[in-house]
Amino acid sequence: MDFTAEVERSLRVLDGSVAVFCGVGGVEPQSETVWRQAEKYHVPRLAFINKMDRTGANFLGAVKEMEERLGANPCPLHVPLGEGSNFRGIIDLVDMKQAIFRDRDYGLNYDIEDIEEKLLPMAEEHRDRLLEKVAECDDEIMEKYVHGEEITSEEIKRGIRKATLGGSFIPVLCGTALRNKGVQLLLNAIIDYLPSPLDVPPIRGIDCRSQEESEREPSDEAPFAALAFKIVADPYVGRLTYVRVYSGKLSQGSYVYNSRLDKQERISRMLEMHANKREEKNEIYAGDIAAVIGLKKTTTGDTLCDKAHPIVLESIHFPEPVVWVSVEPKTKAEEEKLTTSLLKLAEEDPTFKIKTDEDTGQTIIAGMGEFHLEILISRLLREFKVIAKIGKPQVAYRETIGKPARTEGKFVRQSGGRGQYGHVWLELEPLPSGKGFEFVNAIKGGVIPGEFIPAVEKGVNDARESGSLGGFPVVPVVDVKVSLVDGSFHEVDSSEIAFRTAASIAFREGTRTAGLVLLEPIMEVEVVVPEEYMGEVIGDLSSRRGKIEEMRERSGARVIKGKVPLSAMFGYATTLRSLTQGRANFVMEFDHYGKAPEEIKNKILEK
Amino acid sequence: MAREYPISKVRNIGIMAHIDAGKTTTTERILYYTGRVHRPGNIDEGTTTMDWMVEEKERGVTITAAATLPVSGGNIKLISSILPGMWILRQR
Repeated sequence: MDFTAEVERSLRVLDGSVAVFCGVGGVEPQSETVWRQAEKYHVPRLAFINKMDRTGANFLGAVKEMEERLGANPCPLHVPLGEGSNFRGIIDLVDMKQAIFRDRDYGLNYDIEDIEEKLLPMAEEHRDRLLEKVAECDDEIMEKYVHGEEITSEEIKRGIRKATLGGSFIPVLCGTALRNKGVQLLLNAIIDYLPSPLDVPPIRGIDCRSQEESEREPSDEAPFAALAFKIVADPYVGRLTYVRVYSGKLSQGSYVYNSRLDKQERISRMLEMHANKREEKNEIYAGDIAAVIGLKKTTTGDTLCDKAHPIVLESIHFPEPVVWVSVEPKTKAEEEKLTTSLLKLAEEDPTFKIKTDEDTGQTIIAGMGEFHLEILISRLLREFKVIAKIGKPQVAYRETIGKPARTEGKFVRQSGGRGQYGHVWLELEPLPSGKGFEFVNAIKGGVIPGEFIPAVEKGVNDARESGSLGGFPVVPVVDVKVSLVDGSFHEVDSSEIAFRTAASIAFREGTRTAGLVLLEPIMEVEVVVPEEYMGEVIGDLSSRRGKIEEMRERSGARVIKGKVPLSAMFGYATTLRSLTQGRANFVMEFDHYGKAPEEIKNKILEK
Repeated sequence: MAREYPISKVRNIGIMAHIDAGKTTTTERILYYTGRVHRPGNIDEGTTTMDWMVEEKERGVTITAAATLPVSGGNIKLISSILPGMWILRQR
């Protein structure tokens, strides 16, 4: 999925979520991805099994898939009154009533009736299972349950709410949004069972003064703290910054403190954003989500707070881009337009990066996948009306080292006048995949004065970021630990720049002796295909250096899951369509960086 | 100016789903029932309130709000009060 960033930041600022599943398709691959993200952020959830009117809809089948595929503990609060073309309404297991919807007014009004007699035994059975699950999470209800005492609807609701907020189970509802059945009951459930800002744990952050962990209560009286989670360039009002207020309140015209920048900015206006219109606000409060105008420097992930109580809230994690493409303006005049447009797009989308190829001077844009870049490019050409030539998408490679190495770097110029003197010994060690970069200062006895150490780290980083293969995009050397172990200095000639240069030389030399390894992005791919095409699809994936990891059946179709290098997946949508006459579909998401085979490495080295 | 509604009545929620599961249609109905739009939009007609970008209308998928309710990233506020036997829902 190319929109990981959007999902990540949404989950970060939301208190609760509704997962919609298709009554026919059940738990599909993308649902699984988003589900895992929601789990990471501990967001309480409800499940809504939609499309119950479709042929082949299977409520209990979908519930079972939630258990099997998601490892969730689903707990149906509803059962459908008929399935497929017989779907007429919903049996509410909490109130033990049935809801019948009218088609006339988009289901705005519906009737609550006693459950049809012949369905009562089935409903009783499901209600008993519900009570059992609720009792497991609530001692008081358990007490009554085991003694066979009557449990009221109110008590059940209280129990469900507690279990939902605590993540013990997922209430499951059903309906068909298209045929206007069941969504009102979903709204009721949102109010009954999903948290208000008061029900989630207080937000945590680091107090800027004490550098210790601190909390902010969701109260209007607490010091102001908010997270900027999205920037949008609006054609009418300019730069809109979306914020989630965690504590305190904010008035129009006041100043907020950006704790990352150590700067105050003025809020000129505040808006509450609706789907396609906006409402002006004079004040916003704890628990609110709103857009503010007037912030010039604040970017996604920044904390805005009260200057007297500075705090840095936990930011939002965004993955690094894995695909890039070159963008060349048609004329010189287009160049400036291109740059400003790209900057605007990058501001809105933190996973979209812009770089310049140092060798060719070309502008390079990078994103999370082919589809992601396609959309950005189309906005660039259409919305911003830039005339440009777009290159072919390429994979973003990275480098790491194969074995440890000890390496020396010297930068000495001493021929008359003030000279240059920098000299370092570095030790390079591979780190486990995904660990990034670590720098350790292991200098003893002041053989290099402390003032030059930051310059050494900078020099290592310079070389690390430009990579040693010389190909674009910048292929940073990752998963490496660098220790500064020895060196020497000159009383007069040593300078920061000399040490920075020496460190770069040492690192570059070191990566050569430490056996350079090329890493390529490996994607997790899931293809859903009718059985008769399975052979072709598997054969094709294997020819793309794919490793099939799992095959299973789902609602009559075959699901193939595996890992395939991204470089072999360009244009896959087209191939899959022609292989299966359009009857298969697939999803793909970045999984990890893995070692690229020799022939790929050689190809890159040749460039 | 004081709060319009107590914080306990605020629900910041998102809608998440697989592309074809009916996220946009469900969201449209929620907006309709909570009084935000006069008539629910239809994806096939290209009239949905949430899918407001050209790209989205053409491709029939939600991009901007891939996982959430309104473009804000989930700012649906459901305000409830009890009348005999039922919930009244109002969105701010």
